Amino acid sequence: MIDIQINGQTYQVLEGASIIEAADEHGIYIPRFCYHKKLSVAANCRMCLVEVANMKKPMPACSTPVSPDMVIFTQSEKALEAQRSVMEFLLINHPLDCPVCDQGGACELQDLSIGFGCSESDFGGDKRAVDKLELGPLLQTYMTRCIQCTRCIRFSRELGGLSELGMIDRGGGEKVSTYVERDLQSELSGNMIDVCPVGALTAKPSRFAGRSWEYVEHEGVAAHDCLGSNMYWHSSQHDNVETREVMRVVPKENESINECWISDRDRFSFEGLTHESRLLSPMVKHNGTWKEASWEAALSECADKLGSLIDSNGGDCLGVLAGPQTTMEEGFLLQKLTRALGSKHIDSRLREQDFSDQACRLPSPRLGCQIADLDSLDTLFFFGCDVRTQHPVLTTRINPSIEEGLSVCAMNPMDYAYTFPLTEQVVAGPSALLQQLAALVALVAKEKGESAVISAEKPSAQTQAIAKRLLNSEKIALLMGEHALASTHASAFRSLLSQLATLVGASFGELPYGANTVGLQYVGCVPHRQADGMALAEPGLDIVGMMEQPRRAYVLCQLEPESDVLQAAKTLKTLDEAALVICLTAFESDAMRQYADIMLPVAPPSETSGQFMNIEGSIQSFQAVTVPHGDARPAWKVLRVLANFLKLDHFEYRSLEAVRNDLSVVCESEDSVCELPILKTLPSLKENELIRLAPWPMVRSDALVRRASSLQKTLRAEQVSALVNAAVASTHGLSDGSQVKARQGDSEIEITLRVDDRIPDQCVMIPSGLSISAGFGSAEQAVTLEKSNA
Amino acid sequence: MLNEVCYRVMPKDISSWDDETLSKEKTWTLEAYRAVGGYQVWEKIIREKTPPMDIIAQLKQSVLRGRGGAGFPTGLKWSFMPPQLPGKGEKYVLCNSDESEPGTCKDRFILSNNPHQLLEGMLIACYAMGAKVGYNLMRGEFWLPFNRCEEALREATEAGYVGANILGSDVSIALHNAATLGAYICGEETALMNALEGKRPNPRFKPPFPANFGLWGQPTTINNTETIASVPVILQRGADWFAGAGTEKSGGTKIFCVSGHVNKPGNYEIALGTPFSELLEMAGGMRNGAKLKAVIPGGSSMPVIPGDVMMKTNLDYEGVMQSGSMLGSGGMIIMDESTCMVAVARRLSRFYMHESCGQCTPCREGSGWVYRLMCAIEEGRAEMSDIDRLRRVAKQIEGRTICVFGEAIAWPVEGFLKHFRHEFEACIKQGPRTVKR
Amino acid sequence: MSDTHGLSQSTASVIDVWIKKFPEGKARSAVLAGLKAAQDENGGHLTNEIMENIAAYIGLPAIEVFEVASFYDMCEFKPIGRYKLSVCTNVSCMLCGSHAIVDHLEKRLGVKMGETTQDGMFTLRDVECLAACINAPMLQVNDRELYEKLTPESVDVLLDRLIAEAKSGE
Ligand SMILES: Cc1cc2nc3c(=O)[nH]c(=O)nc-3n(C[C@H](O)[C@H](O)[C@H](O)COP(=O)(O)O)c2cc1C
Ligand code: SF4
Ligand code: FES
Repeated sequence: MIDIQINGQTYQVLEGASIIEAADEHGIYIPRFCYHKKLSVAANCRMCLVEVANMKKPMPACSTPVSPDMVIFTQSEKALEAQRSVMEFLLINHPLDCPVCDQGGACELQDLSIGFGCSESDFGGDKRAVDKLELGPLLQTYMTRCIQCTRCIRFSRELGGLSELGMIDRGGGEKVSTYVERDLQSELSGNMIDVCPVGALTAKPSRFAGRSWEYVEHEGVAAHDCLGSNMYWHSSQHDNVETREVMRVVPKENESINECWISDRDRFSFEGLTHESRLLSPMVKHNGTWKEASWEAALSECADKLGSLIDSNGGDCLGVLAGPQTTMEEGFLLQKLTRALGSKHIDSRLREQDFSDQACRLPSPRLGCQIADLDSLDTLFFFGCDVRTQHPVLTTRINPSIEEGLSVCAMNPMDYAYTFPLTEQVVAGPSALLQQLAALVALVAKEKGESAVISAEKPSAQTQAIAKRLLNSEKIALLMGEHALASTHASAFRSLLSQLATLVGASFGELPYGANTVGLQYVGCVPHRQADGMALAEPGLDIVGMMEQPRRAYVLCQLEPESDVLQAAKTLKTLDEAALVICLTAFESDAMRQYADIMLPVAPPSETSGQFMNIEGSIQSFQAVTVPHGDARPAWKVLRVLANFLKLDHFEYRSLEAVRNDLSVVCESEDSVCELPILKTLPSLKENELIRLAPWPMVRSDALVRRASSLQKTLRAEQVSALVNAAVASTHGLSDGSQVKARQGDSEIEITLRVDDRIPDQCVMIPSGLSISAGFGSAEQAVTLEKSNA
Repeated sequence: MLNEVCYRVMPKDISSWDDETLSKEKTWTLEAYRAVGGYQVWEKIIREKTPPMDIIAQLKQSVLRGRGGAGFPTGLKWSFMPPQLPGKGEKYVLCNSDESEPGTCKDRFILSNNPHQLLEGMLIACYAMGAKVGYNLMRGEFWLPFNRCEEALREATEAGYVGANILGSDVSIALHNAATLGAYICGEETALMNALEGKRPNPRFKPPFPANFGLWGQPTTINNTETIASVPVILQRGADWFAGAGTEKSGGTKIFCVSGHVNKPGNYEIALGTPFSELLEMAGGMRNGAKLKAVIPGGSSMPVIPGDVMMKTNLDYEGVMQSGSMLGSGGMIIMDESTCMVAVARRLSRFYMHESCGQCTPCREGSGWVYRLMCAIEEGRAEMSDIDRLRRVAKQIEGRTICVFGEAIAWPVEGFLKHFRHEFEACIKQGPRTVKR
Repeated sequence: MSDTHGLSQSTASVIDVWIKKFPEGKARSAVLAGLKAAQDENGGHLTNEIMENIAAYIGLPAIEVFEVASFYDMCEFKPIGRYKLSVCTNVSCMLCGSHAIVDHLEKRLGVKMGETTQDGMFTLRDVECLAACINAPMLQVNDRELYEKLTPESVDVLLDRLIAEAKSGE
């Protein structure tokens, strides 16, 4: 720490800080445009000029380091004159169209120019006009307003990890552009709207919807991945809560989670809230026809039908599934209701199919370290994790860390298009991947002088390189991603990875999909543990078991099985055949009309209050932003009343707080240590099957984003096709662009084939969650491909 | 002391300096260079393992100052290079052969006609600062100079002066020629580093300074072509000989590029401190016997000096400073009475608008504004208040930019307005072209 | 030879030669030489495809190649004439009569500065100082040879020579 003086007052500041950092630290505002605390310093706008004693020229505060006893004036005549000049220069070519600019009211240039009392300059000439720039469905551009601060370019390169924007030409003609106009590929592109200090980059979906001063800001938690990014919902400022609407979403700073970024999915999914398929009133099906019903009627029908099924068959005939946007309170009530009805069959692990080690796992998944720890690792090892599309915000920590020397290794079932370079990578189909992982563990054990617990094949050159990296790194995190979790080999992967972590002294964790999968498991929405995390001696059926041993009745809370579960075909068939299917859902679909008997409209995240637990185990609560659309109600209320209709005891909750109180009492138990079984031999692997890799594209991950129209426009051709590598294509007599039939038993779809060498041998990638793949087969299992005749 | 340093391979008689004579003598070859004593210094350094500190000390003693424009003492600059490298990586020596400042055309002749002396200078510079790699970056338009430098590098490598284990010693130095694709700003030292790195040649803000964080983030020293090419002769003939040629603070000789309204425009390598009037005489005096009106003494970025003041000025860094301008690169643009100063100022402001890299606001926006005002004034569309506006805009650019290009826009404007304001007023009052150009 | 990513073998090998001038991992420094070689090969101008190929070959995002190329005066993005005549009009040349040279060229070729003759033979460029101030006025042909101390008469001689050269070259 050193002493400096700012505006006559002495402050202690960090040595090596810039003047602007030191001033910000002490709440002294220095105007700026190009400086952004999370981006590299460009010092190009010159707005931050301040006076420094003994310096002839005014100094840019953002790029001038403090030195002991420096004397700084941020408001002296010399400083103000310099700042005013810069402002004048900026305005000569900036359109003064604030009244029609989407940024009006939230524009840093506007704010500062008013502050300086020079909203106009005495420049007489014509202003520069810059051609429009087309960046795709999410960002609207108005480049004539650009002030060349390069924040967007620096964001995209340094944090987004993609070089999509650049400065072209020079001098007065300098402009921000793409190479050839091409839609942005980044999953984080919306952040450029936030870093743009003027109205050059604005949000297309919410443009002209309203003015920023008309909005009310509500804290929220992003509902699409397990990070729990903090954000604000902005709603139209209707004094009338009844007519209030969500207008846009912006990030809320949280240094330990999302810093100041959110993904495009988190930002633009709100468009789905007003989708035409919103279920607006309870619906019941009688003799195959759907009718609207009052809540009273619908709930009593639920209670009657469910009650009589249970009366005659016992509680065991009920199966319950919870989707990942179900809050902790809702999940708590759901499992309580299930168990009160005498059923043990509840699950929320929609995208897993290997539960053999569930008794030994943590009560709910964990990252194994803090999110912020990812900033300071030596080596990060991903296993079956498409972090870029599944947890985009994490890449804002990884991309810049690469510069600092982080090396990332991966073993993946396909060569994901990461935004950062990989030091080493193994790409192989699930079985080969398992062999290489075992080989890696055996090799590392040998190097460490431990007796190898598993006999394995010879490690490939890349596996050896990974071993070397791990053995030579100090701070390592191993992360098992959603793609590995979905595999039929998941428990074997997990066992080997945890052994590996112990061997190299790394942290080990999981990155599951969905906003609250962590919280739901934590509150007991699993068949093998109850709400307090205690293991059940006799576990109920997991999601796979519930389909293999069909139940008579099902309750589905906030999921669309055809698009949300791994075993879509079997699930649909089982549900079709069940006597009763009750769906608590925000959206209806054709498929749901088919299998459901009663549909109860519940509130999506912006319309309900609740809590999500993120992958670090932090519980974050949020409040409803608007009232639910139509007749929809928060699911916790629906569950509570349904329990009342079913005449169950201990469901007299008068408020959400009451539920939360119960929940917190039950959930006091600490996370138990997990002792995963040690894998001694590899499961038998089938060699010549074609395995379907089935990742969910970012914008198809849940019901809400699937209905967000602008995000849907970002789906690229390769994300809606089946992909195989050239070798697989030729052995099947297929070529790029052919129509193919993919088949699993009775289940069959037709899809366009693309040849893509990022897919390993013996695999075909057919994405999940697409309308074309809805209800198709089982993900991550064998499938056959043949040329379609059509 | 005409043509004894950088141009020592060339005929002393400037008037016989045409391409034909030079081609006949092939001054750019190793043979021609050896004939004037070339590479003797380098051989001696290698043979005697001269301590690098000695070389730097001699340069300090010679009072050699940078010939690229700023006139920074070269010996001192070299001493800024950290002697030891903390981590791994290299130190670099860069030769700034961008030569794009209007009025300046001296380096081009060194590069084309005396490339070996530059190479010898770069070798010595690398040796003295412990750099193993040196780059000579030329502007892209330098086609012939580039080819001559490549040829010279090939010859020097064959002769064992450059490369691994130079002349059988354990000294290894690699030199490379490189070229931009044409942009004045590449002459700014940090822009040149970005250009060489294959990035947009935007100047970098300082600190950090190149001596610590230069090319690829490594310690780097950059000098002008003429500066580096002077080094072998200084070491050969002695620091005192060189220093003695100039004034106390401006050592040695310097090349002046005399262009414009003179009878014998040309490059004259003369002792610093020589009165301007002598240089004008060497250049054959004013064309058609016209009266000297004004001189831009150091390349176009330096303020213009009225003729009568200039006639009393001695050509050294201090002398020109006293006359209200700077010696800069030594590009002397001579203007006679017939010259319209508004037209000259306008043309220069077009240059600065065109060459601004555009990254920082005052320069990007201000350079265009200055040019538009200049146009309005010259074309008779302006008002009197525009003259003050012009001055104000120039002042608002000066000192607020990342690199000193900002000053290069502002100083000429200020210079012209200070000495020739009446011509600007006349343009406004009487409409365009009242003064013949 | 490895994949040239659509570049000609000769441009690719120019880039290879340049990459060797720079330290390991600094291949992007060769981008300028690559642009120059590719532009020369393509008859004097760059296309998006060429820049994309260079980017792929060097391992850079395409936009970063375009950023660099668009900065420089010598990069052309539209087809130009067989001979690009770059006439300096900066101060020293201006004082020595470059406007007469410009006028003469425009009159004789029937196009304005910046334009290309109909027959695709000449493109006129009004350029900044090319470091020939002492031999003003001057022009440069195709970013190579300089022609100095010009007069309208010597310009005519030059043009005639270039036309003859083009004819005999066909
Ligand atoms: C806009 C601008 C253009 C410059 N152009 C050149 C140039 O063409 N050649 C040159 O040697 N120095 C040029 N300089 C000066 C260099 O930045 C640097 O000071 C010089 O190369 C240092 O060498 P010296 O110490 O030998 O003079 C320029 C500076 C600026 C700000
Ligand atoms: S002063 Fe001009 S040339 Fe220098 S960095 Fe700023 S914009 Fe670029
Ligand atoms: S904020 Fe310092 S120059 Fe832009």
